[in-house]
Amino acid sequence: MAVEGFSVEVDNDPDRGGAAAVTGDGKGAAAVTVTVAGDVDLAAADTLWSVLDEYVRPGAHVVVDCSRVAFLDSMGLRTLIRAQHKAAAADARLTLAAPSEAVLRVLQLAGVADLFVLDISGDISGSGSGR
Amino acid sequence: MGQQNGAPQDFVEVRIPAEGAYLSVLRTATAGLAARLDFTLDEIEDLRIAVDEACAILLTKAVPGSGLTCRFELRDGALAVDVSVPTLDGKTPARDTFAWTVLAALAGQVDAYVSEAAGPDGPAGAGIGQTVTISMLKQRGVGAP
Repeated sequence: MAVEGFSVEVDNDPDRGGAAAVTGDGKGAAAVTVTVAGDVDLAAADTLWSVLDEYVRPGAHVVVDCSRVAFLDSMGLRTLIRAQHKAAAADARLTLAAPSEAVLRVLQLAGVADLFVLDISGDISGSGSGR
Repeated sequence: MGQQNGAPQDFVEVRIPAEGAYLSVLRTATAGLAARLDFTLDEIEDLRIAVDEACAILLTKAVPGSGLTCRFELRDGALAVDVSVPTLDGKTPARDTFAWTVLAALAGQVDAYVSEAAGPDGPAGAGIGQTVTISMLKQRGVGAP
């Protein structure tokens, strides 16, 4: 079933000719950007996990662009934590980029902001021309 | 009950299928009702999250195909919300979860209880089908940090 008010898009997909193909030891590879938008709730959690599970793999750098997340609850948060755990176990990097107010609020309420690498610079690496 | 000052109390009940896809409908209803009570934008957002968390907690143990009932009581300067669903285990939710942590931080008072009444699928105390309710009360102007 389509999830209303939620979308997830992937840029730089290494399997589809993107620049994020993992080279050698994986160092220096461009990031895969996963752009999450809308309401990240119980209804969206499975879809989000299926995408993050696919791209968080050994040596990968996955940037989750959270700037357009309008709503996040603990079920969506659990999915992000699960992805973070997988990244840690797989020697991958997961970054939450430009988290919206909705994201920051729930990270803070649940007391888990420290689990994540947050990029609040507003420059989503991998989505533009590079540096 | 609640007639002390003669202020009218309104009740609004929203019933949805016990499926995550309908949570957004409840969040929208919550925001609309909170706005009627002149809650601030931050308080409205807190209530949206709180109601969503309570529903999500209950949906994970809801009897498949059942309905989730959300009952709003609009008081003077406060909104009381009761979320109920027939459950598979007839137990109150665990409190050591992220969901409960967030819920408790957002709503002023939160409690959960198991209905004494018989569930649709069995007698009282049978567990399966027993209705579990999460109650919360959010006061206007008493914000979470």
